[in-house]
Formats: sequence, C-alpha cells, structure tokens
Amino acid sequence: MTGYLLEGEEQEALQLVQKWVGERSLLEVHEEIITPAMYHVGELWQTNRISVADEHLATATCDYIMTLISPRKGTSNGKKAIFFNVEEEEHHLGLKMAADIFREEGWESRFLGTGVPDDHVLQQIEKFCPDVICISAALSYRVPEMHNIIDVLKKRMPGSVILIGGRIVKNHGMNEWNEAHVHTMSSLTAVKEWLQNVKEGRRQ
Amino acid sequence: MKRVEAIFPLPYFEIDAAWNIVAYSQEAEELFGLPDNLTKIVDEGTYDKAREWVDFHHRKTVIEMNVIKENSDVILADVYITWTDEEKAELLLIPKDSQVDKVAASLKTLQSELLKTKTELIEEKERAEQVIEQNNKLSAPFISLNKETALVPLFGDVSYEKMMSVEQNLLSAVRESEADELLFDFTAVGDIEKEGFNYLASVIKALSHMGLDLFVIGLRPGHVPNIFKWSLPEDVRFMQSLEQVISNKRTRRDNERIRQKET
Repeated sequence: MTGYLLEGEEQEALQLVQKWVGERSLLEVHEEIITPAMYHVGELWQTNRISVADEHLATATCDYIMTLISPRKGTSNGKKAIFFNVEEEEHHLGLKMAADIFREEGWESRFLGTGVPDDHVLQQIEKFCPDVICISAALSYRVPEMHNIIDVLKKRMPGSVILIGGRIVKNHGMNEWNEAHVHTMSSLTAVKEWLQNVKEGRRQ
Repeated sequence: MKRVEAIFPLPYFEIDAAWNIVAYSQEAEELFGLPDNLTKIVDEGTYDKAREWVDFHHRKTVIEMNVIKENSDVILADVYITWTDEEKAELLLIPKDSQVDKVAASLKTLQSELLKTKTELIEEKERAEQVIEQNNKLSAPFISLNKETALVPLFGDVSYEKMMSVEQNLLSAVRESEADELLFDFTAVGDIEKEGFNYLASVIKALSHMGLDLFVIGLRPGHVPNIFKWSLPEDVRFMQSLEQVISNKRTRRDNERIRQKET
C-alpha cells in the first residue's frame, strides 16, 4: 500500500483499498490500513529514505482514494457536523477520516479542509448551523491558535458542541482542552464511541 | 559564537556535540538570527529525525529538515552535515528552491479557490434541492370539485421522492375535507418510476382504508402497461377523463331524479 501511495499509483492503491472496503468496516479500513500506510510514509522520511516531495505525493494519492471510498449515500439522521483545521495546519487526513465516520453514522458532514482562513470558517459555520464543530491540529505550536478559535466559537456560538482531534490531543493530553461542551478525541475509535453515545442519548 | 566567512554564500553553522552553535555565516544570521543552539531552529516535526541524523555516527550525510526562520516561518532545507571530529560538525543549509515555493503557493491558492467553488456549489445544490422539494409538494394539489368529490391532478414524473413529499399534504387535505370520492388525474404525468408508483399505491391504499371511493383518470397509453403490471388496490376504478366522470354522475343523478318522480 505504502509503495503505491509513494509512486502515486492511485488506481492500484484504490483497487487494494476497495477490496478491504467490501470486507471490513470503514473504521477498520482507516485505522488498520490507511493510517499505518501513512505512518510508514512518515517513518521513511524520518529515516531519510524519502523526501518531502514523495510524502506530498503519497498524501495527495491517499486523499484522492479516501474521497472515492467516502460513504455518500445512506439514511440521514438529520444532524450536521463541520470539520476544519486550525489556520495554517496542513495535516488533514485524520480529520477527513473523522468526517467519514460521521457520514457513516448518518450525519451530514461538511469538510472544509486545510488552509481555510478563520473568518471564512466562521461564515460557513453560521450558514451551515452544525450540531457539532470538529477542529484538528497536529503541531504543538498551534496550541494558542486552537485556544483562540475555541474562544471565538464560544463567544459567537455559545453552547455549541466542539470536538478536538489530531496529534495535538495526543501530545498535549486531554486536560488542556476538556471543559464544558469541548471534548477531545484521541482516535477514530473514540470518535465512533462518542457518536454511539450520542445516538443512544448518553451525550450532547 | 563567532561569525565566519563561509566558502559558499549559504547559511552555514559549526556546532559541537551538544548542538551548541560555535560559528555561523552571515547568510545564517540573515535567515535565522542568532540562535545559540541548533535545537532553536529545528521544527518540532523534524526534531526526532534531526536527533538521529545530526550525530557523530553519521559522519557525512545529507538530510531534509524543516527549519524555523527568525520570523517563525518554517522552511524546508537540505542540510549537508560533516563531522570533522566527535566534537565538531559543519552544517550547510540549502533552502529548497524558492521556485518550488512559488509553485506550491499558487497550488495552494488554486486549492482554496476550488474549495470556495465547492462550497458555493454545495450551497447551490442545497437551494436546488429545496426548490425541488417545494415543487414536489405542489405536484399533487387537492382540489374540491363539490362537497363530495375532489380532484388530485398529478404533475410531472411519479418518483419516490415526489410521492413522499406529496403524501403528508394529501392525507391531511383528505382528513379535513368531507369528500368521499377522490379522482387521481394522470393527464399531466410523464414517466412513472416503479418505486414512485409503489409509494403512490400505498398512499391510495391508505385512502381506500379511510373509506373513500377512488378513481384514476387521464391515463395515457404509455402509462397503462406499468400500472397494470405493478397494480393498484383492487377497489380503484378507472375512467377515461374528468369529463366522463362528470357526465356519468350527471346521468346517475338524472336517473335517480326520474326514478323519484315515478315513485
């Protein structure tokens, strides 16, 4: 899988993934196949065997495949969630996976992706009126920006439910963020569990 | 820490085993200011890699590193490292071609433009869906002809979504009216989809359970095979047109009047 991603051979990679999609749940495909493949790409850069350019090609290929396997049709539960990275954060694959996990559960997910300026994000949120706002960041120097956007959201949309994910949660622990209406998601499994709890009325 | 003249006009550092910067070139100062230790310019995501590779056991090597400029921007650079002995290494940094940066920047602009367009398209799609939904709801108006008879002309294709939108309005209109005879007019119907037809059949069945006399009128030859193949509830009667229903009623009423006069 990593080989196909690094070579940009999207058709081969897609065939491989689609075989798994038929046999396993989306969560398993993401956590057991795509994520390890992309971690391996990261390791190859760490060990000086590939360049950043190779890494970007692998990311783009992976992104393309994820778009194609994204669950689009299903029964809607009438709930909406919006997903975006804090400003300038480029690591977006994990967030995209989370959006798909929401879709699989019948939510309408709107993925704003990376590089979207805060004012545009806020505009979108006000128009879309989501039930849940999901924010992701990887690098620790995004911590101030993450706090900033949470504060802005709390002021502009008091009472809205905010979920935080990405490596920032792993590196900074849960306590940095956990407060009323803000929940941290340490993995996709945690996202799935949270959604399950909402469905059964134990959350939100 | 001293400034030295490097052979090449590039950022250059001399460091010791603890990564303390011992000497630097003018270009290094221009780009990074005056950090006292290499750690200060290594980006978080590169740190583990740098720890492994900027080490005496890799005497001569080149690695890609993300480094932090004085203005906090992170740039990618090829870093050439040579350890002259265990206590001294020379680092030459070659920032990745600015041309690449330019291309990357324009790609990013394109990407965000695409994203904007995508969002606008989604909004348009939602608006169009609302219009269709509204249109669907209006595709089976309930028209009272007189106290006991009502007409429901269907417009456009009979699709599942349309029948779903129509159902609620139709059932409540029937509940509120006193009509006991309902005429479904197919004159303005285009195609009949199987799922749509089945849904309509279930609505008609519900109406028949509510005790209404049901008629289907205005069927075109193209509709007939499917209607009979998929079948409507048995008590639904078929008439050619609204005109025929009215003239039948008139005849029936006239006959009744004559009979009443005779008795």
